[in-house]
Amino acid sequence: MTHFSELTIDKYLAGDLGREAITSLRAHAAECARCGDALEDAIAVKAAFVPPALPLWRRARVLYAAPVALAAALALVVAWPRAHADATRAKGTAIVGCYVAHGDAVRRGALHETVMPGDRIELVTSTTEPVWFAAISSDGAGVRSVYVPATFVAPAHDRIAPAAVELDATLGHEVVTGVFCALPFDAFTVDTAHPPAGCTTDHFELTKVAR
Amino acid sequence: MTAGELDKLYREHGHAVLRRARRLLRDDEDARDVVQDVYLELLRNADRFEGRSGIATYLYAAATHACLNRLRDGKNRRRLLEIRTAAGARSTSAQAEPQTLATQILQALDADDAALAVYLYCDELTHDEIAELFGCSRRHVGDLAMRLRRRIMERAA
Repeated sequence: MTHFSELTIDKYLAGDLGREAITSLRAHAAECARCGDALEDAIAVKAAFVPPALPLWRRARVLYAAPVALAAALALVVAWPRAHADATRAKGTAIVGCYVAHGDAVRRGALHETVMPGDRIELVTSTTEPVWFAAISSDGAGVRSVYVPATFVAPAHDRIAPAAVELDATLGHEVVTGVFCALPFDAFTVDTAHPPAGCTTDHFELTKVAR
Repeated sequence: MTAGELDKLYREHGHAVLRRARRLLRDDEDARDVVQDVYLELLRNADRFEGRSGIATYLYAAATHACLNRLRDGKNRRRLLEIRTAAGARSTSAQAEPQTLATQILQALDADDAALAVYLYCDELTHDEIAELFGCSRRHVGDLAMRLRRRIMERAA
């Protein structure tokens, strides 16, 4: 394979490449220093890209722009030691978690978290390898919502996902599952109970109670 | 396209536009301005995207045009010297003269030809990739490339 282009890297990161092309790209990047460096650089730029706060908007219950105050509060919380919280999680290379903003207070979400309508949930991932990540919710009535479509994420601890969720008034139990795959996938059709080969899942549970 | 949809595209793909602009402009501040320009243009003229190509392809072309426009505005012409155009990339001696010539040639080309020159000689894209960016056939890209070479040779003569 000849060197791949910057356009190919962009397509890879955008999920626009087919499975065969991805396999070919990864194999070449592993052998070619020039292309390996270019890919690493692109992943680093993506990881460091912090878009400025844009006007908040809503689609269903998902907010694709976290409020500035929440983001600022998260920056403080994320920096706190979290040994206790991490100790409660199963061992694994890809974990989904959350932070909960309740009024002005922000706390790290537990595996079984009690929340209230109006709270905002910021999803975070911890991964040791670059993967495609999606977050899918299933409530007590079995209603499924895609909070984060399949998105490429670089390895990091507690990387904030590109979506925040504002909880509506429906009370009850909800399971949020993170699906992590080596290749792009369709978050709207993936079976979270039986994910495709090469994928792993992790989840946390929310119980929404009245204020 | 709603502001929300634009916001999502910005958050998910803004990094690619930023990287592209940094590469062509070699200036972080200008590159960030280009990111804003590209997304504002997308908001104003969403019909130009319409999913005819993948989002990565669309943004790559849009970022290239936005960078070239910025370079053409006169304030940043000196940065053209740093773009590895046909003459600049292939010259290993007497750099200043070929680069100045490259600057003049690139400035003299129309927007599509300038973009084509960057794709061919700076990015080293394949004709298939350029065809996707221009939304035309590979054969037509071959024709455009031949025409571009003729124009460059005429300018260089």
